[in-house]
Amino acid sequence: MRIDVYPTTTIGFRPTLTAVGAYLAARGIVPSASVFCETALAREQLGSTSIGAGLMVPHYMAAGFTPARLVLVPIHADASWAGVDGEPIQLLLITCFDPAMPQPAFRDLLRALADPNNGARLIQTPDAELAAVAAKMMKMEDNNGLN
Amino acid sequence: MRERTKELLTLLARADGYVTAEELANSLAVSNKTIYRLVERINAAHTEPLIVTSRGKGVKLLSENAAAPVKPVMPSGHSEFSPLQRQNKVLLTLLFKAPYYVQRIQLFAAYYVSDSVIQSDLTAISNLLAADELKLVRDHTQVAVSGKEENIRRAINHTLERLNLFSVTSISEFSAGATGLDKFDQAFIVGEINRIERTIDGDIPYPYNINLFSHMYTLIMRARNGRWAEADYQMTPVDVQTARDNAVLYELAKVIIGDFDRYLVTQLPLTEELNIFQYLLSIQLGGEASQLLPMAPEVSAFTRFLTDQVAQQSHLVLDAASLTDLERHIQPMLNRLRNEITVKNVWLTEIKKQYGDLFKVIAQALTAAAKHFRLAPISADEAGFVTLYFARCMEEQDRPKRVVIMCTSGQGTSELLRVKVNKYFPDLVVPAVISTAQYTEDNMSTWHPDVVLSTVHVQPIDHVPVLLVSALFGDLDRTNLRHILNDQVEAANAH
Repeated sequence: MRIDVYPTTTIGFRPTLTAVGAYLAARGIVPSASVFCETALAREQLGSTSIGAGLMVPHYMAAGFTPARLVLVPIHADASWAGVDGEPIQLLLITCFDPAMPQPAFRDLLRALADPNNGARLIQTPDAELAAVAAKMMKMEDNNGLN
Repeated sequence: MRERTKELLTLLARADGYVTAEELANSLAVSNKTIYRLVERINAAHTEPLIVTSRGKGVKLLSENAAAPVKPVMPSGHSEFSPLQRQNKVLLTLLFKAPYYVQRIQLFAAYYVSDSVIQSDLTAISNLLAADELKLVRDHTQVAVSGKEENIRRAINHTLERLNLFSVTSISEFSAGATGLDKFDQAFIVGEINRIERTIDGDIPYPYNINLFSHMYTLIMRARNGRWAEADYQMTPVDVQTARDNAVLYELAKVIIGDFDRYLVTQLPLTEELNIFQYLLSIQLGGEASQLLPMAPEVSAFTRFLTDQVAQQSHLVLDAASLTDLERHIQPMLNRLRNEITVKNVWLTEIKKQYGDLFKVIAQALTAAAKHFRLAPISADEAGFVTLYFARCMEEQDRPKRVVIMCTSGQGTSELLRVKVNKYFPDLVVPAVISTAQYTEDNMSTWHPDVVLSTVHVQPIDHVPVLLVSALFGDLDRTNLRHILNDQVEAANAH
């Protein structure tokens, strides 16, 4: 499991996905920015991954994608859009994984986010500490897996 | 054989609970069939069964008898049969041979019994025959059974029942105990049953397979050993109408009897065609085969009367699916009652144990229904089968609702949803959190959900409603879920 923190963006959802895709593609993690963006958007079309209270968990699912990756992207208020509860999205938690593989860390993260306090805490965490706080919610023993 | 009996009893006495027939067969180096035959003989030689047999579990020495010294299993003398078994086996031979005489010496030759025992056996046999309106005709050296063919057939069924031949769940077990049946006969009957199954495109389930096999066995034995008057029977208007309404099964009955004619090198009377036809009508056909039997109006009336009686006594109401299943069972049951076709229910003891109160309610309701519709009394075995339909519904209504949660991966938003469902609906059971790839008919039949909660749009499988929700599982989602669950309860109660 790797955790990336992408700098706070001031652009909308699709451009953000493309930018993150470009960042990952440049490191050889995904085939291209457009593949990454279209895959995640295709999942959104089946049903929004907004989970309320300013959080959204877009998925990039691809066979053989390992190790799994979490990309945290704070969203600037100017670029934000409304989630399913009408609240502006403030943090993207982009989960990248092979759907055929069990992902206990993601499960733990989602379970933790069922508590609104944890979501609020993540949103308020400075970028520099975001990965560590998320890792703790995912019950990762240490930060060895962090980029 | 005696050694094996002792070894079997020793093995069962040492065992803690049930032992499968296979394990016992391996230990004694005999076949499974031999184990069942030994169990039957041991039980027959005792006033109370010493060994209990349970489908799926195996056999067990009854604990209350296990501590007591085991009585001698075989009766005195050279015979391996109890007096009751001997009498019924002799009776069966006489019934198969009717109206022909059989030499007394020949009849009892296999049992090595004295004249006085033969005399008392023949008196007992005479009494058994009288119960079926038949007579035992004797002269100095030979005996015969006299009476109508329909009474002879009924007496054969009663005798087979007393010999515990109906207390089996497979054709091979029945064959093992069927006197006079050779491997060619067995193969022929099995072939005819297979022909029926091919025509109806489905299996003939227990107990109907045993019933049909028993009827065909009786037909072979009667045709080969005895004789009955060529009744000049003409089809009644009811016969004609029934044959017309069930043309596929009637044509099948004609084909089957044609096969019997060729196998037995004879020409069986029309009544045999109609007998087979009635047996076919008395089978509960499942799946698409059930379409072969159009539902008679009286079936619905009988079922409604029965369910009303049960509802008054127990407040138990069947849902629509269970009601349809029950009607499919009632239809052939009514036919069995009219044609004196009896079925044995090997699970009866277990049903009474598990659903004692419900069984009593059903038995009373069936008695009332039989009276109301002027039918023959309905046996406990039949009541046991009917009880299962209500028991299933009772279990369904008592069980908590089940919700399967789904998202594309089964590990993202669905996990969040699971936490929220547990929080807002603590009584719901969540048997699985799944991905869309796991959303298959096989899995759904395993998890048996009442509703699927999904964060992505999918089509329902097996009419299980799918509620599309957001991972947020907000007020609207929760209200929708409550509505679906309430609607299901109301729909069940409405029926």
